[in-house]
Amino acid sequence: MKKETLQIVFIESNVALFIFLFVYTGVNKLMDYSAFRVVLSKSPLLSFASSFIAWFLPVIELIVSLILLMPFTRKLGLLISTSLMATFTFYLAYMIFFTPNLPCSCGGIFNNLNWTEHLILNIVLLVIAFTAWWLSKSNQRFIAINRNSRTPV
Amino acid sequence: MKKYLLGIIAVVAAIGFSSFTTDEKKAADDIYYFYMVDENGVIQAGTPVQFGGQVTLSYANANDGCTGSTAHCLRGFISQPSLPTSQSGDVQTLKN
Repeated sequence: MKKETLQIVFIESNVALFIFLFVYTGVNKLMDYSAFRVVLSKSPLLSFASSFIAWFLPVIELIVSLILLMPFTRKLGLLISTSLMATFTFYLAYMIFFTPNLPCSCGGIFNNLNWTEHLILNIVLLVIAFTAWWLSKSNQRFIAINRNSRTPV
Repeated sequence: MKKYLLGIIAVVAAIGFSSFTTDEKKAADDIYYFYMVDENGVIQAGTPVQFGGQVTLSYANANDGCTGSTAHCLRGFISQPSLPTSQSGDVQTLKN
């Protein structure tokens, strides 16, 4: 398989992975809104706006999934996914250092992970998201050609 | 349409999994035996069940009366554990 084809397969499969991840955790948070809000209200970092974040975060996750779903906004979606994953990872690192006894307020099966397992998973996902975004940035299927010089512009 | 296919499959799978895990959670979400945790994170032998029996997590959260830190206050178990134990339990309320 050609290198470019492999890159496209990698990008597309990771786009699907992040759509799955964000829809899954977003829907779970909305379906379990009250429990999610209670845990956020106990977080030293987010308690001041727990009610707002409890619905704002899953809505953002669903919007990012929609952005990833559209082929023409996919690159932007991967950039936002990378930023979101970076934010979640910093939050997890903060929680491990300052409030390790607080249960995770994550959606679905991620609720069963402890903080350290979750941090490792998030770091892996962050690296995947960043790589997919980086590759999508450099992978141009159509390069404009200057007809006089025959060099890409 | 082909460009959307993988994404749409991911959305459908995610919604399917969400409904599956939420149902599973609801079964375990009913009522728990809550025990008070000591400062070392252990439920000591002979610790009585709080609230006189099984209650929901939201009831325990509203009535645990704990303050002071974000460490566990009460730990809830679906079935009664053998004490003493340092298990985290199925759910927890927190001191905050």
